[in-house]
Amino acid sequence: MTTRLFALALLTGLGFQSLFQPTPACAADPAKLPLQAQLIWGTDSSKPSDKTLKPIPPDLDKRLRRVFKWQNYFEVTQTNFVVGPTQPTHVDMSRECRIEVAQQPSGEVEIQLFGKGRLVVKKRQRILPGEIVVIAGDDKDYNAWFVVLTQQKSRGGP
Amino acid sequence: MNRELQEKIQAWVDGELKASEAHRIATLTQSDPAALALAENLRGFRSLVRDNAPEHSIDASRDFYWSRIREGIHRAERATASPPPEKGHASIPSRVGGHWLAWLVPSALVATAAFFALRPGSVPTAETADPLPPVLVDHVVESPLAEVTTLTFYSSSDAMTVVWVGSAEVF
Amino acid sequence: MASPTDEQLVHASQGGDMAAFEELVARHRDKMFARAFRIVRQQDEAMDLSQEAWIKGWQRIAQFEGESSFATWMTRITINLCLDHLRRNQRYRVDPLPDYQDDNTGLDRLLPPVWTNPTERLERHELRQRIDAALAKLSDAHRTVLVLHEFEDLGYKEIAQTVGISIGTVMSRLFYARRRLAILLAGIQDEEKPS
Repeated sequence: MTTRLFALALLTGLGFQSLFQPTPACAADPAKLPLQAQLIWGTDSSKPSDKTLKPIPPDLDKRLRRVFKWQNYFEVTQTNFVVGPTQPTHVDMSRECRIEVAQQPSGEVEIQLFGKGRLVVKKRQRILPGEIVVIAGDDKDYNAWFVVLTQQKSRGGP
Repeated sequence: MNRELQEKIQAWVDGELKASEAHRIATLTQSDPAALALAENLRGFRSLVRDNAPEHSIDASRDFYWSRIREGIHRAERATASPPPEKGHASIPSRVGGHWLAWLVPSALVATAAFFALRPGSVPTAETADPLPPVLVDHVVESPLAEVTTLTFYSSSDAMTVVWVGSAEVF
Repeated sequence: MASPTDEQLVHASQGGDMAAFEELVARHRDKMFARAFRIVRQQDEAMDLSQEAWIKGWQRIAQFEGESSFATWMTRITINLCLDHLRRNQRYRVDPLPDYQDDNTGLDRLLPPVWTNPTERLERHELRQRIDAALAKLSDAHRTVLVLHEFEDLGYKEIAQTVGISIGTVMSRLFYARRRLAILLAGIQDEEKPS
């Protein structure tokens, strides 16, 4: 028990150290933050009924599986966008769902998730290279939806 | 009589108008036979439908009907490995790995201690505090909707922050 | 010994007593099924949705604080699931308005008189069947508003919030649904009149 606690503490502690590393993307162009948003559908079904859905990248699949327990994850949409220093950026994830992302003076971003035209949740935090922010919830028939935000890989990262 | 007025009369019959507007429509029905006839017909029709609501019942036996519900409950609980959420708490996401959550709180405490131990003299102040809290980040999540519950956690090993949104209609 | 009240069964369920919850299901299952059926109009779908509602009910029972009756609380869960179901299956479309939308003949000509006789059991049973058949012919969008208003007794504002439409749209859909239902009922009557 103690060993596991310390191991976990060490892992977590190492994770914290990354908070103090310089951010290549921000260092290169502090005014703009290039992000990627993915809408993902989690299900126990092996094949999606919608043929436009595709499997998510293996590394993301692995990370999601470590935390969530759906058998399969399919990408519904993927959008690359840039958040400027002053104006929020709107991204339509689906017909019913959109996000609004804005940079904050503190270096955080504010993410607002809208569903059916209503603000559902607002979250503020930094998004560092390699880190992902997942906003998710239950869907019908034991499925789930995931909105995943990361920095665009082209801007560098660990 | 235009559609707007017809709908106003309907709203009056349904008791949905504010007092001033209700008074206006009531006055109108006293002077306009067509408006009065519409109001009376709407009232009659409403009663007709309400008093004769179609009835439907389940053909399946009590045991059969319940067996599928029980199966669904057990299936969900097997995934969560937890009892129904305690009163007043945000519901635990049903398919978040139970083992992972079980380690969340102790890891948060130990990791927070380790974090400050590794960085002597770095006690956060209003100016120097890192804006990203180490593990639990509930206080920076907001929802204007009363029915929405959120559970937020951070996994440093997965470099992942999760905001689980409960009871929300997003799609 | 008197059977336990809903409140007692809810309390026991909140403590994890699944037998108590099963009793609640047995008491209210027909009501929840009927509510689901009125909205989706498919027997199998209504069965599945009502069962799904009970599963959600169990999962959320700890959050039930008794501000309404248990049946009302379960009704809300059931209705929300049914509306989600319609949306996901893209059934939530509104009929194009018919040609007579803007005529000035007045709804009074299209609404049938109140012709139920509550003392005649057979007639009433028949009338219910006719209303049911007419409801089945409405679009999901119109029927939902009508059902929520007439059978669930929700006000315009509550319907607007539940369905996700404006109050103006609620008024418009309700008016159209009533008129359409009246026409359908009148049509059924006419068809069955001896010539």
